[in-house]
Amino acid sequence: MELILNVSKSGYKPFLNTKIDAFIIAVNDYSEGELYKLSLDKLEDAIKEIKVANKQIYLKMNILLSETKLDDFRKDLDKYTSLEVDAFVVSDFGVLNIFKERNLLERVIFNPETYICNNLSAKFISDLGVKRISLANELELDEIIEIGNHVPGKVEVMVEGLPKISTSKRNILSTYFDYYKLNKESDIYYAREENRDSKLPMFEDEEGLYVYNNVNISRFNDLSKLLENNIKYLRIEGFNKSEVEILELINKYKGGEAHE
Amino acid sequence: MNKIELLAPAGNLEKLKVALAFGADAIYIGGKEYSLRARASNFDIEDIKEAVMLASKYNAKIYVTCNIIAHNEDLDDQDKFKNYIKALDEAGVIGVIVADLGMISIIKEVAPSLEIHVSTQLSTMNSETVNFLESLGASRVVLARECTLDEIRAIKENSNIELEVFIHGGMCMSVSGKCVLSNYLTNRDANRGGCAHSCRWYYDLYDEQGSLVSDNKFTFASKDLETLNYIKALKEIGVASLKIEGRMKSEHYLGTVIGSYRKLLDDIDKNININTKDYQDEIKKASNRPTSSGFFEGSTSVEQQIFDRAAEIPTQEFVAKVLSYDKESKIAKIEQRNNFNLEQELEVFGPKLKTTNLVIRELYDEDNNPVVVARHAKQILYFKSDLELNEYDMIRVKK
Repeated sequence: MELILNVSKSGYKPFLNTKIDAFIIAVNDYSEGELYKLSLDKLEDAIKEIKVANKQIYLKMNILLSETKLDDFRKDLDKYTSLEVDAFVVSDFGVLNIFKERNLLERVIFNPETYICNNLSAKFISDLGVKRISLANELELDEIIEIGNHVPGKVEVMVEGLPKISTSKRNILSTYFDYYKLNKESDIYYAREENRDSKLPMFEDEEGLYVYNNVNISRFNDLSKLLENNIKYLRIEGFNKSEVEILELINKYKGGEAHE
Repeated sequence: MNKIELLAPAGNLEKLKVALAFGADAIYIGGKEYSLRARASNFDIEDIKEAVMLASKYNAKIYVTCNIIAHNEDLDDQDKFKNYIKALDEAGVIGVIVADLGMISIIKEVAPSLEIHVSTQLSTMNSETVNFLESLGASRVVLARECTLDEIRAIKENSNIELEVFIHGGMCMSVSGKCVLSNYLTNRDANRGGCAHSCRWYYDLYDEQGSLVSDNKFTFASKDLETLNYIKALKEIGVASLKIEGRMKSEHYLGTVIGSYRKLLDDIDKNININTKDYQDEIKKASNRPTSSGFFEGSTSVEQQIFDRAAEIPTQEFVAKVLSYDKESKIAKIEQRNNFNLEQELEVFGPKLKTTNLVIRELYDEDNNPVVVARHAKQILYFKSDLELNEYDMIRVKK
């Protein structure tokens, strides 16, 4: 099993000496929907620390890239691909194509979030030559297993975390605060529908708004079935989780103490 | 200037006839399976054949949506999907609109002459994606609604295949294909036709401390898109197709919106001086939601969002559809759609008829009984009109 942490507010440092196998870290400028991002110079330090700890590092470049940013991305990509990084998490088909043109697909983890839901599309993308694909969070266990068997060894699933349920290019929170002349003071806000109790967490960055469900997905009870079916790339989403919660999860999935 | 396609939606055959009559160059429809908008009536194969036949009379094209993001259960029976695609091809459908790239290889295998149009569900925002899709066999890409006008221009300059751009209608608040709000809140899969428009509900907003931010309700809802001011520019850019959203929309809406954009396009071609306000005023008569230009000018702000329920606008009520008109007797045959009275101030508009005031002073049912209040749904009625009317003309209450 490879247990992967999508790093959020807690950062990566508290988990360097745990049994986590890999970190996904978002980069400034070319990622979206992450509360923890690093600039290129800070990345270089992070990579050193993570490699010393004998972990994998995946850079998240999951921006849905507008035409306006395309040239800059092409120019800047070499700065990232020359780093000692194990893979790049990508969501945009255009970005995927740029990696393809540079013969770098074997370093791409393609995660288009809601998109990969069936054998055909999983195989199609996998056959392009990517390192692996990330399945939609909305799949049932039997669907995950079926797809996993169809593209053996190439599938990553989220096993713990709040699922992201909407990505918008609109800064809807900011416009609400502007319209009603209020001050936006928190990073994360919660929306509770009038007739329901649940509060959906959401936050904005310069690319837009991201809404999450408030109920944690946990596939711990399915762990043995996932592993039996060779689905071994398992991801913990760090969003809205404390350092303690993440440590407990690492412990749970890896068995024994979280720390090595 | 380039000839550009006006592409309209139709949820059933009646709406398709209206769309054709009001000047659509192409219509997109959904089949009974594999299509979003599961709650539209949609078309079985026989309907699709009839749609193609009707469209051919107007030299118009039919595209069929196969734009769900499929799960294995949707594609388990691949023979069923293949047979469906073959049937579409044999029916004379010009192209299919797909979101799932896994479907493309099947379509190319069984119906190589069918055009493949890649859905907005793939969130295409750059020319690199367009070029990638071209390499897979797509002949057209429906761009994401998040593209600005300048970005559309640049994408066109940097790619080869046809581009289709949404010009009017409902806007998801989310990037298309990236929203499963409905899945989690109502157990209805937004990417397989079940979207419950949870983004349009009203919410209370809380901060990280759990305090209510304000008594003002929060909603994700965005204004509808309206791009009358940008149509000339889109033609100049060389966009292939202008897409109106709305397979769930009414005949009245379709007639009003399609008719307005058709007139605008024709007036642009004739180099007539254009005051877009005239077309906007017409469209407002059938739209119940406020509109904005979406992302055409750049990032969105207060102007593109809805903030309260009061934003919903009552439309001018559509009361009857003209079924036929006898030039000799000047008798119009109409089908009632909402209640109206004799002497009520009405207006009539149509594919060849500019909006004109109308007052009906005598009205008769099929047994020649006089009618004072037309209150029975879809009742067939007759009245004398000196104004020449045509099939598909529409009568509504004058505001």
